[in-house]
Amino acid sequence: MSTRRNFLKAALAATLVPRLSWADAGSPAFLGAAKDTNGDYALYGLDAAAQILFRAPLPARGHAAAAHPTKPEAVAFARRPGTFAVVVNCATGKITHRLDAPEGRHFMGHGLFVNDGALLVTPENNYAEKKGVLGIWDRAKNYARVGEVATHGIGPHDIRALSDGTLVVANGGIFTHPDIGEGRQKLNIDEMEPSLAYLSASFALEEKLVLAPELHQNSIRHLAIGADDQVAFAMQWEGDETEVVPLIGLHRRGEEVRLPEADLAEQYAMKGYAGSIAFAGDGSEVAITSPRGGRMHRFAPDGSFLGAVLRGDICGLAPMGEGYLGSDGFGALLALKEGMSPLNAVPGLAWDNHLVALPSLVA
Amino acid sequence: MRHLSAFCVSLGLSLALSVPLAPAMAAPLDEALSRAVNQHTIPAVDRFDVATAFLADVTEANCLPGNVKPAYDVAFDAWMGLQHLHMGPIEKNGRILAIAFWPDKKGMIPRTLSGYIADQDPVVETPEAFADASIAVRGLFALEYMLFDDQFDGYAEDSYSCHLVQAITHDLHRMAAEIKAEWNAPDGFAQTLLMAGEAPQPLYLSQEESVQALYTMLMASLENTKDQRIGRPIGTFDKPRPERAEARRSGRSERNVILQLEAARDLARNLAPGEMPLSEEAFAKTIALTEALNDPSFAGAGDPMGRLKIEIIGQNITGLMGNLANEVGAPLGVSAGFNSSDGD
Repeated sequence: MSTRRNFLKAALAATLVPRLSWADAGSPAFLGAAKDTNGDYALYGLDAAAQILFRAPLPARGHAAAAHPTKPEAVAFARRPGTFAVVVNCATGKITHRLDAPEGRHFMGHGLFVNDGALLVTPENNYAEKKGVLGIWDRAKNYARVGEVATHGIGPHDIRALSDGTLVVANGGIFTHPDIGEGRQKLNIDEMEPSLAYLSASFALEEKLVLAPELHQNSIRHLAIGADDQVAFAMQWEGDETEVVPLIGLHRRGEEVRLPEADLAEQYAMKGYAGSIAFAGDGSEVAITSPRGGRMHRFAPDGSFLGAVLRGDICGLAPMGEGYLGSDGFGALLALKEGMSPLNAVPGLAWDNHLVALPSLVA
Repeated sequence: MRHLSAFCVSLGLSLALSVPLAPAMAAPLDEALSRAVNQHTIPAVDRFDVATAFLADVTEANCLPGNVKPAYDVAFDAWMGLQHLHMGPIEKNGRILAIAFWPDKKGMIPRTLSGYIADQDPVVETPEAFADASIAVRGLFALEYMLFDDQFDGYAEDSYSCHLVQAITHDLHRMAAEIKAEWNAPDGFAQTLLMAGEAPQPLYLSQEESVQALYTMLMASLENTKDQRIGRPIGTFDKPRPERAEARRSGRSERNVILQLEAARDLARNLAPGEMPLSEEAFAKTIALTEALNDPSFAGAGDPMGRLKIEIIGQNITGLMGNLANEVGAPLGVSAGFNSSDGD
C-alpha cells in the first residue's frame, strides 16, 4: 500500500503539479500581505478588480512577495530582520516550502525569480561581515540554497531585473544587527553609502550608482522598472528630518541620474519617506507613496512633477490599468492616478508596505 | 496647484459611482467625530481667520514693529490652536509651510528677505503676486524676522520693508480666510470629515477613518512638539542648541509649547468617548512644568540645569501620549497608521 501511495504521490508531483498555472489560482493580478483584526498575518491574492481571491496564512509579519513568472507560486518574505520565507501555492493557499536564512544571514523582505523562474534570489544581510549578499535558491531542488553572491553594498533591500536579465539591487546602505534593538536599529547612519548596483545575469558587478555625498543618508530602498529599462528608485531619508530632499531617482545604465522633486511645500509634506514605488500600468508615469505624509507623488519619466494624491497611510503601490493600485493600513484598495477611487475596503485589514503585480499579467 | 482641484473633482465623480459605503458607525465614534469637528476644528479655523484679519488691519494702519507686535502675538496664538490639523484646506497648496516655515535649517528666511528688500522686489505690490512669492518671505516666521530681528526691524513707514510687512499680514489673512471658507462650505472639509464616504468631496471612506485621521493629528502634534519644539533646542547634552528654539526671536518658544498642549488637550477631550483622568492629569502636569520654566525663548537650554528641565517636558509628553492611547485611542478603536508608524 505504502509503495502504491508513494507511487501516486510521485505521479502527481510529476504530472499534475507542474501543469498548474496562475489560472488555477483564479488568475490573481496582485499579491499583498496584510494583518487582520486578530493580529494574524497572511498573503492575499487579488483579482484585477482588487477583490480577494485567496488567503494564505503567514507565520509572522510579511513585507513583499516574489511571484513565479509562470507557476502559481509566490514566495512571501518576513520583514527584516526575519529569517524565514515561505513558498505559497496560490492555487491551494498552502505553504509548500519554507526557506530559512543560513546562520549569520537574514532576509530583507524582498526577492525575485530569475532564469525563467528556475532560481530565486534573496537580498540578505551578512551581519558578521557587514555586507549585503544575494542568496540563491534552486526551485527544482525544493528551494535548496545553492549559492550566494555579493550585492556590493550594505543593506540590500529590493531587487528587480531588466529586460536583458541584468539585475538591479537597491543597496539601502543601512547596517543592522539582529541582536541590537530587535534587529531594526540603524547602526551606521553617519557612514551610510547607499547605492544602486547593476549585476550581470551571472551576478558580476557591471555598474554601481552612488549618490552625491550630501545625499549619503538617503537610503535607496525600492525599485520599479519602466519602459526601455528605465530604473526608478524610492528613497528614505535618514538625515535631519527637517531637510527637504529628493525621494525618487530615475536612472538608465550609463546615464546621469535624475532626482526630481515636487515644489518645496509638497516635497516637505512627504516627510522624507517614500514607502513604495511603481510605474503606472500604461508606463506613462511613475509614483511614490508616503504613508507618513499621507500622499502619493506622480512624476513623468522625464522627472517633471505631475501632482499629488492625498490618502492617509497609503503605502502599497502596483501598476494597474492606465494608473495604479494602492493600498493602505485601513483596509482600502484604491484605483489611483490623478485622483482616487476605492475598489475594495476590508475593515480591520491593514495592508502591509507592498503590493506585487503579477508580471505575466501586466503589459 | 491645479492638480489638487482636479483631484477633488475626479474624486467626487468617481466615488459617486463606486463601491458600497461603509456601514453607519456606532454612536461613540459618531459623537466623537461630531464633537471634534464642531467644537474643536471649526472654532479653531474661525479664530485664526479673526486673528489674522486683526493683524492685517493693524498693520495696514501702522506697519511699524512696535504697533504690529501685539497683533502678531494674537495671530500666532490662534495659529497654535490650528497648526496641528495637517489636513484638508490647511495642508492644501502648501499652506502650512507658507504660514509657518519652521524650522528654517538653512537660514532661507533672512537670506531671502534680504534679497527681496535689496531688490525692492515688486511682489509686494499685489496680493496675487505675493501669494506666489517664496515661502521664505511669507508667513509668521518671515514676519517675526521683520518685527523682532535687528537686521530687519529698523524700517520706516512707507518703506519697502513696511510694504513687505503689510503684504505678509494680508497674505496670512488671505490664507486664513480661504481655509475658513473651504472648511465650512456645504461641500467643505468639515463635511468631508463628518459625512466621510457620503460627503460631497469624500476623502475618508468611513467615519472611523475620519476619527482615525483626527486621532493621528492629535498624536503627531504631540510627537512634533516633543521632537521639534523641545528636541531642537535641547540638542544633545554635550551640544545644546538654544538658538534652534522655535519663535525665540519673539520670545514665544515656551508659549508655543503651552498653547500646543492646550490645543491637543481640547482635541483629546472632544474625541474621548468617556472620562480621561490620566490624560487630564498628565496634560495639567506637563503644562504646569512648562509654565514653571519661565524661560520664554528657551535660552536656558544652554545650561545643564535649564536643559534638563526642558528635556523633562519632552519625557512627560511621551507619558502623556501613552495615556491618550489608552483613554482616547483604545476606546474608539483607533491607533496610529499601520504603515505610517512603522515603515520599511
